[in-house]
Amino acid sequence: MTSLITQAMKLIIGDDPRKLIKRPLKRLTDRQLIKLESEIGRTLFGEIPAGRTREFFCLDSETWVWYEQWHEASGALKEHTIRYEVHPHGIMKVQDNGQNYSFLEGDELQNLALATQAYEERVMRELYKRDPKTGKLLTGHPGLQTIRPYR
Amino acid sequence: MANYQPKPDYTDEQPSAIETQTSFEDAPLAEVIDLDEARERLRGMDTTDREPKIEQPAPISERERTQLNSEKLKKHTNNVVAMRHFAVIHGGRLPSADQFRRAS
Repeated sequence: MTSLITQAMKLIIGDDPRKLIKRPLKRLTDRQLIKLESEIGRTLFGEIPAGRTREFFCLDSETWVWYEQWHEASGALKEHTIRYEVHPHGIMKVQDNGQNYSFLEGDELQNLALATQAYEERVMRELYKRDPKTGKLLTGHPGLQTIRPYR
Repeated sequence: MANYQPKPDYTDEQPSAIETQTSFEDAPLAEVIDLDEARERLRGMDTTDREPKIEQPAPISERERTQLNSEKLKKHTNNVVAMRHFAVIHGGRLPSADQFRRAS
């Protein structure tokens, strides 16, 4: 019976009705989600000057990436990448393809921690549609379960 | 008096206990407090206008601050990665709390 209804709906609206259930994140890969997250991450540090490209995202459980690209007055394309690596003993800042590295401390580390907090809160709300504190879905679907983030 | 020798201005020796002892000869006599009387006095006092003590957080060392911020950053990183992981695996569906905890 269910199959009959499904087939009838398919004839009328041209698609499996089960697919009409909103699943905004379905079919997105890890990489695509990172790209979407970075669209939020790049706005965390204020307005991006014209002609500049900025990315800020969490690559994996051990890496955050800051990337900027711009054109110099001479027209030459310049880019700068900073990797922030999560180590057991602290957060390491890696620049220039690993030639410069140091453990973060003081205000720089605090600012990065605040940026990651803002990133988590905004990404959870705007991309994954969840309350960052409770893990509950913001769209309010009935009967959906709650997940709890690390606290 | 004839044997008196002035002390040098500076000496490496630590002053002896006797030299550093405070003399109580000139100190005022300690007031003997009658506890019952003190309690009575306190009862009559209006303490409502006293400002409450605001507990100041204990200052933390730079090392502790670094550790604290590193832990915060790790926590946010784990939350983001876990959320993304489930978004990839489950699409729009939601994992149960158990599934989420198992993965973490």
